[in-house]
Amino acid sequence: MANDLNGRRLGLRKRLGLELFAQLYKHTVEEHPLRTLFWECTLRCNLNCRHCGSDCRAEATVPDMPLEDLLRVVDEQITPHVNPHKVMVVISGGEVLVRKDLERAGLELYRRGYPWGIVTNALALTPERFESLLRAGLHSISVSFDGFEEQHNYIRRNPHSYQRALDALRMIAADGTVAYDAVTCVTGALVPRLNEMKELLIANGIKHWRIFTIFPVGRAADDPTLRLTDEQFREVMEFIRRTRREGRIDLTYACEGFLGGYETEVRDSFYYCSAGVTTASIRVDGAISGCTSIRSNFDQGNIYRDNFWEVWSSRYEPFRDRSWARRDECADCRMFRYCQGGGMHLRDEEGRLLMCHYKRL
Amino acid sequence: MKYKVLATMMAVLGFGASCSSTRQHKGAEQPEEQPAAQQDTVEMPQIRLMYGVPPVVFREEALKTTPEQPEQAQPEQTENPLKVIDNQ
Repeated sequence: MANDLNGRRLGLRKRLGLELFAQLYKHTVEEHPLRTLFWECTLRCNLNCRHCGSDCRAEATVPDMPLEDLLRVVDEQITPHVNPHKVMVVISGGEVLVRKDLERAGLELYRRGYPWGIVTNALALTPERFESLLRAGLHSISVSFDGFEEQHNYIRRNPHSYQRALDALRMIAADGTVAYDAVTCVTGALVPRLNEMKELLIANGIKHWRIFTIFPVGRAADDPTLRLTDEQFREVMEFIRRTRREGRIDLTYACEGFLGGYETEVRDSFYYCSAGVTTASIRVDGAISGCTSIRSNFDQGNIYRDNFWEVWSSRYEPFRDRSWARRDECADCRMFRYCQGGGMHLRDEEGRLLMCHYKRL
Repeated sequence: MKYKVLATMMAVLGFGASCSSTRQHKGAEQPEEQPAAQQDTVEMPQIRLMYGVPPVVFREEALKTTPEQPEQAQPEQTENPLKVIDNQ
């Protein structure tokens, strides 16, 4: 379309903004204030989604981490060094609702002053369960919602998953006491129907929507039906941009990658990968990393043998100094100063970039 | 200090506190129920993480009722009766 942005071009104002932001980022790296802590509490899941990055199973081979192990780290190694009110704890999985002590975990975090939230497929999010989570101090919740009934159930491989997710989102939106969003993994089949989907969400009173696109990790790497062409990817960016300008629903693209001319058009902030800079994770086996979706070869330690705060303070070199990523297609790229080689989750075992969002534009 | 200078310069360019050049339409219902993360002007704005949740500040009043009730463990979901997995 004539009014579409050229994602490969950066105007002067945006370029200046990116230069300033790069300085801000540099200072943040030096200080690396912990702002988000993921706790992967389980790998068990009540679904078996086609695009799962965690490759979860109903019966996980790794047992759930006992809550006491997390609390020991929180009490002895994190709380003395942070203002808990400023550290968002994201409880993730697997599917978090399969844990019977989820409310106890949330309440313990709440009592320590941490805001906490969950990411869920909502299959088991009954009104009673939601109520009990609210009583445990739930602050924020994201519900996976991957399109219309046929598509969502195809991806989730469960005939009830769509209705459960929609019911849950309606319930959360109507309750109005916690922050929330619907999270959509956009596949090729959904691209032509994004506008319809927007109307569906609005019609159901859902006001907050986050989109991300498939990246080639986990099961998604092997399923071509889920991927987007470059043209479809550009369509998604244009859709988000238009929708944000329209202002009828709060829509944002997730952190994923640098977007050139679309920077600040499809997200509230300029791109940066916060993994290891302001975001850490404790995975189900105790591994300490950036985000939970980053490959295990980037693990920085393990809570069962290392002190979390020492790891956070003095390791994370590959996350905080990305000069190693300036290789292959990034070697001569003029955007490297702004993207630092893209998201850490897009680097394979050898550190090669799996996909460049900017080059898709 | 340098943070503040950088933040101010960005604001001058129109990348202010929310760091957005695409302001939400005034008519858009802004979420009173969505307690947005408090933007400290000397901190990086929080980017929405792919597998994260909307960031919020801690709310003392977040507990809906008494804290004792949720101590009761939820029934373990050993097997989901709704589970239907195709193997295609």
